[in-house]
Amino acid sequence: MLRAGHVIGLCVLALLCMGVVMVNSADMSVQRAEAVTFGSIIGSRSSWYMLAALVAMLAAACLPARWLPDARWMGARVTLLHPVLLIGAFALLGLLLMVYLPVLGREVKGSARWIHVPLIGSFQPSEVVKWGMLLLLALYAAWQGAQRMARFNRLVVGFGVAAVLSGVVATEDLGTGVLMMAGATVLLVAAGVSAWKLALFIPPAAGAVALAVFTSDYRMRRVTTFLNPFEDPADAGYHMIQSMTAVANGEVFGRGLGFGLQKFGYLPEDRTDFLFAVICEELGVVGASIVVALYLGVLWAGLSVLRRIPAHADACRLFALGVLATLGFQAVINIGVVTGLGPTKGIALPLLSSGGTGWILTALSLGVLIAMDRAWPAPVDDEYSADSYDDEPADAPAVFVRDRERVLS
Amino acid sequence: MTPAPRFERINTVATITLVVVSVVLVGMLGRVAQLQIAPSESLRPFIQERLSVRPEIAPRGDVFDRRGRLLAATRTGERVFVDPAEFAQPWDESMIRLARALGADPADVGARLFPRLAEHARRMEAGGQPIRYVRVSDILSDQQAESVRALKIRGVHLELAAVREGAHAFVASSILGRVDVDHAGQFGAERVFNARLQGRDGRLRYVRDARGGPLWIEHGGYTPPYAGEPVFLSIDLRLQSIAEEELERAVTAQDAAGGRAIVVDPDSGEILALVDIIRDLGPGAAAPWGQRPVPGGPQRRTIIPPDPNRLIHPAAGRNRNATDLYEPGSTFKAFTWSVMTEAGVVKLDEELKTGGRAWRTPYGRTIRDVFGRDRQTWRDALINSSNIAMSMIAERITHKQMRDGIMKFGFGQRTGVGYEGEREGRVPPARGWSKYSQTSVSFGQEVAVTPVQMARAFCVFAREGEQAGTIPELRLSAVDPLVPETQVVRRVLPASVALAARDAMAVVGQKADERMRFRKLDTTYRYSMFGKSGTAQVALPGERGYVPNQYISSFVAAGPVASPRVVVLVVIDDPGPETIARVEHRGSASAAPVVRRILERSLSYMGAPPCAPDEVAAAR
Repeated sequence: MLRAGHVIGLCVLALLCMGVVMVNSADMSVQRAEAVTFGSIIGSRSSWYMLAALVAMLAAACLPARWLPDARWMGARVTLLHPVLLIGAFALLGLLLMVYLPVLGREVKGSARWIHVPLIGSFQPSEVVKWGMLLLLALYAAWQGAQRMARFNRLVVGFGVAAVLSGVVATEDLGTGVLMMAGATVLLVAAGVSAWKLALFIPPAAGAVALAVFTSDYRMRRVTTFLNPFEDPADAGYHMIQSMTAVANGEVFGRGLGFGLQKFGYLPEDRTDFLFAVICEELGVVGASIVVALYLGVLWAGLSVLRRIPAHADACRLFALGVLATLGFQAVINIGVVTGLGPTKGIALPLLSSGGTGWILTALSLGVLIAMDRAWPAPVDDEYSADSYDDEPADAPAVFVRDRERVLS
Repeated sequence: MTPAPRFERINTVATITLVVVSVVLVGMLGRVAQLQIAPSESLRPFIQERLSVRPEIAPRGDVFDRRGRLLAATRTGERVFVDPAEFAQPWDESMIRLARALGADPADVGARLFPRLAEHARRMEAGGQPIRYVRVSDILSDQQAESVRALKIRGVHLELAAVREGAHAFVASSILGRVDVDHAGQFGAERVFNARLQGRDGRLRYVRDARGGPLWIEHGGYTPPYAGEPVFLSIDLRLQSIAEEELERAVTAQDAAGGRAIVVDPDSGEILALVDIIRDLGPGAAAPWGQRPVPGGPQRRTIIPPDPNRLIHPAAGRNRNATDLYEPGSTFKAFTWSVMTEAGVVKLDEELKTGGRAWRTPYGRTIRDVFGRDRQTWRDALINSSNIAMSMIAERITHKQMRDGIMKFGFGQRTGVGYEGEREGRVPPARGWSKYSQTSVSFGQEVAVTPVQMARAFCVFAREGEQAGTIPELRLSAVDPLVPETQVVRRVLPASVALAARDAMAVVGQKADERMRFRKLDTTYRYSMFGKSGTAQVALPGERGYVPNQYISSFVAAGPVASPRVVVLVVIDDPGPETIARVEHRGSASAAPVVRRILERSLSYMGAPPCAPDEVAAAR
C-alpha cells in the first residue's frame, strides 16, 4: 500500500517529468537549430537537472531523520543565542553575500542572484538559504521548547534571523524574500511564538516591504501595473497581459502539447516564472488541474507525515511544516502572478519552472519528508505518551528524562 | 494523558496553513477557468489568433497581339522601402548612402523620405502610431538591388513587387492601357480584359511568432493562386505601326491638332489598329487662314478637349476613338443614301434635277452643293456627295424611316468594345426630329459619331456574301482560329443595297486616287478601294453655329473592292491654317491619302493578293 512518503516521491517525480517536458516545449523557437523531439528532451539540460533532483531526493530520503538533534539532546544547555544558530545564520548570510564577490558573483538581468563555482556551475544561494533557514529555525525553536519560544526575546532572535536573511535576499529578489519570511513566520508561530507578540512585528515588516516598493521605480511600476495592466499594454502591462492571454488561450483541453503560441516570443520568461501560463495554454484547465492536484498531493501527504512525527521530534515537525508552507506559498504566489492576481514577481513554480538549484533543493527538502515518513511509518497516538519515547536513542542524555518530566508536570 | 501543547499547536498551524493554501490553489483553478471561459472585456482584444496572411499573387496573364507578339508580361522585381522606426541615424547620412546605391539624386530621395520621417518623429513625440513604410524607389535593376542589399543600412528593406512590362508596349500603349499599383487593369485592354488577365490570388495564412516569422500553417490555410489567362488582342502590332506612322506624318504635315485612325477587319469585327494622336499646338497658335497671331486678334480655337492624363502616361489618356464625338459630314451620306435606297423611294438610275449649286426645300431652307450639277442620277448623287440630292430624296421618306434606318447601323449606341468612357454618339431623338433634322441628317449634320461607330457601320458595305449588309460585333480580342465563334450580326441592309453603295463608293475611291496622283502624292496602287469622304465644321461649344474655318476631315474606306479585307477610317482633327489655305483640308484631300497608304501597306502586309490591273483601273 502506498504510504505518504511514496505519494510525495511520486508527485515529485510527476512534477519533475512535467517540468522537463514543458520547459522543453516552452523552449521551442523558430530560430532554434534542432527540433524538439523525445531524444532532445531526454538529452536536455533540464533532464539532467531532473536526474540530479531525483538523486538528491532519494539521498535525503535515506537520511536517518530520527537522529536530528531535538530538545532532548540540548536539555539545559539551551541559550538565547545558541552558537549553532549564530554560526548557521552567519554562514547563510555569508553565502548570500557571496553574490557580490567580483569573481564568484554573477549578475543576470540586473540582479546579483547567482554564484558561479568552477567545476560545479552556477546556483542561486537564495535557494540554499531558503531551505537552510527553515532548518536552522526549526532546530532553534525545537531546542528552545515551546515555553521559551513564547518569550519575547526568543521571538526577537528567531524573527530577527529570519528578517535579516530574508531582507538580504529581498534586496535582489523581493519575492523570494517575502516567501522566506512567510515560511519562517508560519514555522515560528507553530513553534510557540505568541501571535499577539508577533503582531508587533507586522507594522515594521509591512513598512519594510512598503519601503522596498516605494524606493524602487520598477517595483512601484509593477504594483501600479498590477492594478491596471491595460493602461500600458505595450510596455509595463505587456508581461501580465501576455501571461493572462496565454492562460485564456488554453480553454478546457488546451491547444495541445507543443502547440502553444505565446511561447514564441510573446510571453517573456516562459521557461521559468511563467511556465504555468504555457501549461495552461497547451494543456488547458485539465493540465492546470493536474499541476494543482500534484501540489495538493505533496502538501497533504506531507501533512500526513508531519502528523506521524512524535512530539519529541519537534525539529523534524517544524522543518516539515516550514517546507510544506514554503512550497505551498511559492506555488500560490507563482500561480497568482501568472493568472493576474498578483504583481509580477520572480518566483518560480516549484519543481516545474526551469532551474537546477530550485529543483534539486526543493526535491532535497521533500526527500527529508520522505525520510521522516520512513523513520516514523506507524501512526502515532495523538496524545503525548511514554510510548512516544520508545524509539529514543539508547544513548540519549540523562537530561532528557528531566526535561520530559518537566514538560509533563 | 493530556495532549502536548506544542504538538497540537504544530498540527493545528500546519493544518490551517495547508487548508488555506489548498483553498487558494483550487480557487486559482477557478481563476484559470474564468480567464479561459469568460475573460474580461479589457483582455478580450488581446486574445486573438496570431495569424498573418500573405497573399500569393496570381501571375497576371500576358497580353499578345493577334500574331503572338508579346505586348505585356509580368515579372517580379525589387523595390526599396524604408522603415522610419528602424532607419539608421543620422538619417541624412543614411539617405545619401542609399541614394548613391540607387544611382539617384539625393535630393530626390530626400524629397520622398524626409517629409515622412519628420511625420514619423512628430507622431512619436505625440505618442501616436509609428510610420513603418515609406517607399523610396520604383522597381530596381538587379545591380541596384544588389547595391542596396550590400549597404546593410538598418531600416532599409527590399520588397518584391510585380512589374508589368512588354517589349512592344510602347507601340500600342494607348490600346494596351496599364495596370494600377495593385496590378489590376486601370486603362485600355488591361482594364477591358481584367477579369481574364487577373486570375485568382491565393493566400497563405500562417501562425506567426512575435517577430512575425511563420510557425505553421493551419489546416486549410493555403489557397493556391491561379494564373490569369493570356489574352490575344485583335491588334496587329505591324498594322498599328503602319497606322501610327502614316497618321503622325499626315497630322504633322497638315499642322493638324490631332488625328484618329482605326483599322477593322469587316469579317470578324476585330480592331486591327487604333491610333489617336493629339498635338500640342501651344498658346498663341496661328489664326485660321494663315494669319499671324495678333495680340487680341482671332486665334485658332482648341477644338480637342484637353486630356491632362495623357501627359502623365499615354495609356492614362482617354481613347478618343471611343470617347470623342465628331460630326461625320458627308461620310454619313453613305448610310442615309442606303437607307433611302432600301426604302424603295428612289431607283439607282433615277435622274434627279438638282438644279445647280442651291436648292430650296419645301419648307424654305436653302441647301447648297460645293459643285453644282443640274442633273444627276441617284447613284451619282452619292459619288458627287450631293447635299441637294440627299435632301430631295429625304423628303420622300418619313422621319421614322430615316431615324430607324440610321439607328440600325449602330449610331447613337455604344459599340460595346469595352473602353472606359465610350460615348454613344448623338442622333436626334424621335420627338425632336424635325423637318430640319430630316434634311440635315441626310447629309451628315445634326448627328455625332465616334470613329469606332463609324468604322463598324461601314463594315455593312464591306462584308461579303450573305453577310453583306450586316453589322459585326466590334471586338478588341482576337478570334481564336481553333475555336470559331459565331459572329453576332444584325442585318442592316439587303445585300443588294450594300453592294450598290459599295459600287458607287468605288468611284469615290477612284476619284480620291486621281486627286492624289494629281498632287503627286503617290503613283501606283495595287489594291482597289471604295470609300467616302467627309468635311465637317466644328460646332461651337455651348453655342449655336460653327467655328469659322476649322474642320474635322475624315475618310472611311475598305478594300479591295471585290473582297474587302480591311475597313480604314482616318479622322484629321482641325487641319492647320496653311492646309486650309491650300484647300487641302477636305476629307478627300486631307484624310483620303492617309487611308489610301494605310490600306495599301496593310493589305500588302496581310498578304492580300494584289488586284488585277484592270480591276484597279476599272475602279478608277
